[in-house]
Amino acid sequence: MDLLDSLGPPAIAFLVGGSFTGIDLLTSRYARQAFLLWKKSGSLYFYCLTYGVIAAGATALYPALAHEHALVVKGLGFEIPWVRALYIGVSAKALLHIRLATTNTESPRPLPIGVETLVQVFEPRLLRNMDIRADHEIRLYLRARVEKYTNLRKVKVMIMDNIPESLPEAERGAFEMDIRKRRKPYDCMSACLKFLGKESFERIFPL
Amino acid sequence: MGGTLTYTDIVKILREYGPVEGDFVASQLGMTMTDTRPYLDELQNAGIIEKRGEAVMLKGETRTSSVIRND
Repeated sequence: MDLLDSLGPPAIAFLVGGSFTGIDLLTSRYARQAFLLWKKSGSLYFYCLTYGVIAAGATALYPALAHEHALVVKGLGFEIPWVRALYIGVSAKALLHIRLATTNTESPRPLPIGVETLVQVFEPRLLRNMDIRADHEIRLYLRARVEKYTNLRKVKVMIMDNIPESLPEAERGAFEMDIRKRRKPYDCMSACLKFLGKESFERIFPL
Repeated sequence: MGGTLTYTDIVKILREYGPVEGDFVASQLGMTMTDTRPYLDELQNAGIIEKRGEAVMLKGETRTSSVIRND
């Protein structure tokens, strides 16, 4: 029972922290490409694993810190270790992105000062790896269609004719501008896939 | 966000955050303001976004939250 009580909450924090981080990433940054990425990117799993380990570590350390009054957090059910583990797991990523200030705001990637500084050790490299992997998987997925649909003008018309009318005007307008600016069928198809998703894309460009 | 800068990404940020400064948009995209400004100008010319002082926002934006600064 003691073993369960001491290892259970960190394990819960690990599972919740890791899975919430993965779900957040796949439903925001890679929202329409998740089906290509989730089984293939090792960096994605390492990313989730890292946040899971941090959440588990924070859960394991909290009783000692609270005992020394170095850190005291109050909230509904926070004194119960299992509930605390859930709180820490769910909020691990958000807590690690707290920044008090940034250096050199003219830079495209200013260095954050605060808890988020720790994240800079691993996150940018993992996100870059995932971006590269996502690009690779999209190219593989689109290859057959790029070979079939080679006329740039027709590809653009096919996409423009299939933008859902229910979308807000601003989103439609911006997407149309994106498509008009592209100079290759691949670029148009890639944008279409990322904007409309797999089902709509496969309906617009059947094999 | 990673990848190529798109008009769609900018609209997505403005839809999420409401009125913000241009350099906040640039930082969210991982770009410099120099790279982002032409895209903002084109979206403004197309009537999709508008600028009020330092802030950029979607046309017809009704939220009045204070402008988010990138610092």
